[in-house]
Amino acid sequence: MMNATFARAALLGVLAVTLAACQTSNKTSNLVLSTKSPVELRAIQARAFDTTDRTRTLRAVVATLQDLGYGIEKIEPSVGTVSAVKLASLRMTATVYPRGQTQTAVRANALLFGPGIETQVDDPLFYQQLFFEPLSKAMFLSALQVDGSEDKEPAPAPADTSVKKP
Amino acid sequence: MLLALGLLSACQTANDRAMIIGKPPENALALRTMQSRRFDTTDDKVLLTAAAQTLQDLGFTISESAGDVGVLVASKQRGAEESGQVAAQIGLMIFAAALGSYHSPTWDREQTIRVTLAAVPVSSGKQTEVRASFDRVLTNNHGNQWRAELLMEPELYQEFFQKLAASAFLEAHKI
Repeated sequence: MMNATFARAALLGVLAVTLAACQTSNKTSNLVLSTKSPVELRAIQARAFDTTDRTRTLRAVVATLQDLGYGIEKIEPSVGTVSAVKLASLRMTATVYPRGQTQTAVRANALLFGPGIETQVDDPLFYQQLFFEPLSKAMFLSALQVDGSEDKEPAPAPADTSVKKP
Repeated sequence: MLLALGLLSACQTANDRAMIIGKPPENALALRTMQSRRFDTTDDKVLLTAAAQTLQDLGFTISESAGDVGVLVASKQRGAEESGQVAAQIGLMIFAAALGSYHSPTWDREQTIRVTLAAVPVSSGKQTEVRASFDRVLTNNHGNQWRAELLMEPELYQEFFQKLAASAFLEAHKI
């Protein structure tokens, strides 16, 4: 009798553990940042354009994101930031800021959502082919590599985890 | 299809997955044509106001608006349960139970439809082009997001632009 009760309790315990293993927490998602150096990341994520028209650049960023299938989540023209999400799994944040006297720079940062985890995308090809090339076409201007000499970039925006996932 | 992609990509790195998800939609050009209309006005504010009203009429809540760059974002939630899907899932559960295993019945419970709208002056200087793109995220009966897709039905865009044109007292031209 005692043994049966104990066995049942043990089984219940094992079941509880097994079931818990399948759970993923939606509330606390871990952020995995790139291990690349800040200089390396900037070279991957930033480009300069020969224009001083920040509004036009921001509009081009919006049009490019829309073309690529992203939906805009937040946009702040006065600061030049835009945040967009594609298919509930890829978030792109872009900042448009003046660079020197004659240029405007665009810095992009992408995060990929997984179950309980968000990973920063740091593949140079991703930014080049799936953002800056189409953006450059939309701007009718070439996207120039930034060397960092004239940059007056605002402090890089921290990954925004306060925004609810769509 | 997307779910299958998600399952297959289980052993890929985040960069690999980003390269797949980040790709432009296959029929990007046709999609742009479907999602865009030109209006004979240079006043993009008039169009944005009309669009906000149209979306509200359709039950959307405006979540973001930036007149300076002609952007409007709205969303609405809607039940997505279909009795056929539910019945099939319950049937599957009973079938699994008969074989001594368990199948957790899963079906679409809710969907969030989102729309991003951007009004851009056309280079000719006489028209404004409006692009509206709708997408949706489906949540299942367990409360988890499990499917997301761009909405590609031409009728949806046709109807939206008709309503927008009527609201703005302007004619919508296809591009």
